[in-house]
Amino acid sequence: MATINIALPKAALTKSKTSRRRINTGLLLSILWLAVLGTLSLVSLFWDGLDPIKADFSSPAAAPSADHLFGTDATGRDVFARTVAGARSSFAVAGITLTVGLGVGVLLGTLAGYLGGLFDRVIGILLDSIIAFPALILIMLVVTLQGPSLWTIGSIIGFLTVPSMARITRASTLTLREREFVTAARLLNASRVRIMLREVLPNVAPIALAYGFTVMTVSIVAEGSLSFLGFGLQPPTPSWGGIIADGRTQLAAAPWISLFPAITLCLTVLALNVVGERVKGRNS
Amino acid sequence: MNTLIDESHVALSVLDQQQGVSRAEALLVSNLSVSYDTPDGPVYVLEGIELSVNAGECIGIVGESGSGKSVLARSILGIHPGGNPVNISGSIEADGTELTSLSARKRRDWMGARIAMVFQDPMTSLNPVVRVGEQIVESLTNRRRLSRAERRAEAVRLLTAVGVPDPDRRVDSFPNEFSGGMRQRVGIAAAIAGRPQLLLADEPTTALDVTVQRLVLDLLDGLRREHDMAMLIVTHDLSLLSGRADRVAVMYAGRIVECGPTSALIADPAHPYTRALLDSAPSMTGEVRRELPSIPGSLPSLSAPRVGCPFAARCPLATARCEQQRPPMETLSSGHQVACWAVGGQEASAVEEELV
Amino acid sequence: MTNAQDPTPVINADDKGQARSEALLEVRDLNVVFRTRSGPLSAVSGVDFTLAKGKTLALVGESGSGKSTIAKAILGLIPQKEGNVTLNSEPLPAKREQRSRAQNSVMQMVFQDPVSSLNPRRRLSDIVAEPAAIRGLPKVDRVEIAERMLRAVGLDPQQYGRRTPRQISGGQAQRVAIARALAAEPEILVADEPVSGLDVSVQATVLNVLGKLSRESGVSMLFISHDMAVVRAISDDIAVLYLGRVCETGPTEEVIAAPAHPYTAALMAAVPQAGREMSDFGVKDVEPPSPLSPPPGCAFSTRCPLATERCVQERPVPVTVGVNRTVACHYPLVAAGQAAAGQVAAKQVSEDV
Repeated sequence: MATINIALPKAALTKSKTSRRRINTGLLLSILWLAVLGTLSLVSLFWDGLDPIKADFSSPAAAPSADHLFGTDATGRDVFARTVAGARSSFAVAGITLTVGLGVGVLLGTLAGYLGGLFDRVIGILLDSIIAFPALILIMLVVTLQGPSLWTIGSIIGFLTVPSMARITRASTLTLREREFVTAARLLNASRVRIMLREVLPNVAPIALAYGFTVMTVSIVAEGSLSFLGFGLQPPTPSWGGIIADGRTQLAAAPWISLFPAITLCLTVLALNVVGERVKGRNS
Repeated sequence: MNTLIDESHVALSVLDQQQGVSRAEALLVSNLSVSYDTPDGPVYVLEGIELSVNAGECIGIVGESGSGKSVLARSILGIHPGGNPVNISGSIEADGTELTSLSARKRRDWMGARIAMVFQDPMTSLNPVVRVGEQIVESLTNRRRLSRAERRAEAVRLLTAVGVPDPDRRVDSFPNEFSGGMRQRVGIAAAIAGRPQLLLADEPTTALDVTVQRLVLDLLDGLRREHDMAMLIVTHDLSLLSGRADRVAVMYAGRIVECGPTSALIADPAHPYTRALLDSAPSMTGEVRRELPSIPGSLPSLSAPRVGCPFAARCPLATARCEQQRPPMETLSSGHQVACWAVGGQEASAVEEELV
Repeated sequence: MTNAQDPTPVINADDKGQARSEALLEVRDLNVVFRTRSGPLSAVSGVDFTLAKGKTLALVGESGSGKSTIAKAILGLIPQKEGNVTLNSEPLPAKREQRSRAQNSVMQMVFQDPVSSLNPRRRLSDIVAEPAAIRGLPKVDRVEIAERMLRAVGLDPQQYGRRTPRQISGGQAQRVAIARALAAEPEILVADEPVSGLDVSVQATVLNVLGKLSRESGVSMLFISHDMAVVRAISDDIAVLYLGRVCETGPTEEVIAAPAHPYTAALMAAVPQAGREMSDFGVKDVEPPSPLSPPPGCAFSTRCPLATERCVQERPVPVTVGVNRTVACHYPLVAAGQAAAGQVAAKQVSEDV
């Protein structure tokens, strides 16, 4: 039963450096990519060198160059600036999705798992009906009624991720509830709220957070798809899906207009997955 | 039943009939070291293990958690769970074949037929959705073409041999329909199906009730004698081996610190760790002690190779030398060896007196 | 944390001769039935026992004996179906919700798996301070209690307080669990196989801590185990259970000196002891009966080497043998007269030393 104390002396570390470095390269690149993209999208808020709407009418649909790293689109707007601005939208939507999905999902899942009984059953039926309802119709309905703002789109995607988030937290709460440290807390006369906050939640949260990275990727892809279809963010708000859709008509003549935002989207999703896997691995 | 480990004594009397090759030992482990590269750094689990098991002999490997006893058993089988990269040096030889360099396919042929394992929890080694009869003869059907009726008859015969009542009916049961003790018997039946020359038993009774534990140990004992198998019992409980194993090897932090004939080792333990281990177990006889002697401190870190004696930090007899130099295995009396600066070799008798 | 070469003191022989101390927890005719897919399962049937104030009572048995179920029923973790449990002469309701706050905090538990019994996300000092935090004590007191309790179980608060359960060994984790239980100031400590998952060398440390604390703090202990040698080292009294029923009760030293029930004898014989051949008394090599369909007569009759037709047909009722001893067996290994002799023998043993 004794846990082996795996402290790491310096000598031991250097010996296995090669294998450790290999493990970390992908992770390091992923974090770097997300950090650069995040910083740029923040900078673009204040620096008009990265203005996504400012058009350079002298050079429409120009190929990538030193002036325009990713080239320009049909109206002469800088694709790099637009891609960075698109990241801003994507991150904003992902953030809102995560807040809604994680907040509501974890709350419902933990409560359903810990309280059980009637509450669990009612929540279960509610979640099942969300899943049963056609997602695309729901989104179109809400977007039509509410208008396609960042908040609306983020919230509705978040709402749709609630069932899976709730199920994951419910499952881990169910196993945690049987763990002896929860029984010990009950024997100490801890209130239900205290047990949920002190014993269950700290153990559920990291699992939910790891899954949160998947939710963010889902959100980014969903927002991109919606904008591509015209149900997402509307011009002039730049969005990866929208930019890709704009470049569609000139795919043969100016492929960079669609290509660069598409590559950025792919790499971002990939990077989030890599980081998410690592977080998941740390928790298990 | 005591077989001496003195190598000159090992006669080449036992001939492997099928191979026509002479064999001295059922198993010979020499200078075996194993380490894992985990994401948190390397773990050095075994350091320079020397062990020989003669044909038909029963050896006990005793150690607590972190001693490496299970890793030793698994290394013999070539199983290294966890998915971490494994570094192995040294040699594991069985029947004149080097096992560490065996290809996966060759190893599969070997296992079951010559070396088989009984696991601690048969529930994890048995497939829950396959009838036990099929699982018992699995190692056979790979080799011999047996008809369905022959397979069943063989499974019934094996179940009878391990004392499962009503084998004709139980052969069609699923593992979860058996009690813990009976399930372990099924595990034993599956292990002996291929008539192995060496049976590894990793904590075979730890998951069982105490009254059942004894019956299962008796069964293993009987089967070993009947089939003239060599057996390696891995356990945390030294007292379990009393009267059952011919020889015992005591492991601590990846090393064998003492080995010898069971009765001699228990009657006159030499290594301070062995003494402490025997001392700390509560007894059924004698006075009731208000305080049991316990071993202060904890296991050394396995993240680096141990310098000196691994027990030095917890040992009442430790000197500066123990922390710096690895004690060699020294022979005390016939077959009784110990790796300890304080009690090994010529100095033994002097310190012995001091301890008493 | 003791020196291996210390001479070990012996329990005072006079303790045994004294009149029985006051009953703290009395369990009468406790029954627990689980509903399962294969029908009702009587996990505990008609169990009686008494835990005396300041004493340690061992519930001994193997899997399926109902020993853990009894503990959970008493703690109110599963609603017991029938039976009378009184605590300090007051009836103890079945469910925790029906009990008073005082009744609920009077009993604390130490679990078999120490790693699972500590929240991996909390620091050891917080875990041990939790009972004080629940009682709403101010931070200064919480810190003080945590340090005092960690020290009481032999862990340096400076060194261990900030660690998490993953950074300590199993034996240390078990000591932290004991510290947490005692921080709640219980009258009864229920220890469910507290050392069976531990290494032998660590087991001794944990047993020493439990023994010392029960002597010094006067806490009564319900010690659940399958290991007669461990039970002998820690308990004053013993209740042997088989298939949900009590076979034998009595003072530990007397029962072990002369077991009256064949199952008790088999349990004792099953304890392997270094350097000694196992004694002959065993059980029949048959599968233990299913708790779903227990034998109609004596529950042990299917495996008992001494069983007769009467044992198969007729369930034995507990009868008194000697002083303070009961046995439920048609053919007890010690008769009334012999039990008294056994008592003398036990006393002799402890006086001799």
